[in-house]
Amino acid sequence: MTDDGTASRLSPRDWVDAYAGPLYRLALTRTGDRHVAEDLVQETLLAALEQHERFRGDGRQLAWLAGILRHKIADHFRRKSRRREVGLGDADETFDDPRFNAKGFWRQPPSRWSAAEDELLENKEFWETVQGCLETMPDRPREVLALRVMQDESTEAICELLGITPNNVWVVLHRARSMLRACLETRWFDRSPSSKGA
Amino acid sequence: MLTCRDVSRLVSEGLDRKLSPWQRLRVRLHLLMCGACAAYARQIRQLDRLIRRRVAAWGRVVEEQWDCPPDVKQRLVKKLEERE
Repeated sequence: MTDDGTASRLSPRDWVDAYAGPLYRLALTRTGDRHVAEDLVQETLLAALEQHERFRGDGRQLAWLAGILRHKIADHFRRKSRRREVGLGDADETFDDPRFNAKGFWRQPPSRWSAAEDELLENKEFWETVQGCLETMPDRPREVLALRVMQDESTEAICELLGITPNNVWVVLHRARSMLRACLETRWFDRSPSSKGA
Repeated sequence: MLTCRDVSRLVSEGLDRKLSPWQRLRVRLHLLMCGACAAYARQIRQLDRLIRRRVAAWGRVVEEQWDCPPDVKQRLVKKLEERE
């Protein structure tokens, strides 16, 4: 690699080696969708190359790229909401959790795990399991969960973005959380004795 | 009386809006009496908090541990080279 920046500027591999990891992780945690994450990281790096930025491989450049990526994530959700057909699926109006019986009591109660949060936060396998669970969800709950929890958008902002009522947002979030909880229970907590609380 | 189904919905809504004092009281009473709902409530609150902490930790977690998969990297390099 040269120091004058002319040659290294044109080396996509340097950009990918230095930045693809953190950018991909940012995109994945915010969208919950690995294909979307890959596309957005690609767009971000292309935008950087097209601006003839010199490759520096430092934290400031990463912050600059992350800024571009955040805009692209916001654009992605705006585009999706515009493309969406008017009208809601039945599942957005009410959520009938099969874990409850007709009287509204638990048919299949949750098992009694509790998360050792600090350990899980650093556990790569756990987050891969979370990602796998997000991918089993239908698009709508996954996206609304990504907007609300990963992107920390308010209910009002989500309503505006998706053109739905606050009640719809809450129902979809309830459904998303319930699906994620149940999936992690099966794929993680009921499997690993060390993760269970006392 | 609130059913377990009602409580599971209100616990989730409580993460997105401020419940009325009356709703909060009724949920709290239910959770005191119902172990299954108490576990459910604790778990979805924990998962919510964990995901938020994970997002907030972006850039602070050791990079090698969270690198993007090699096949993604390869495709990225290829796409970027094509565009040059």
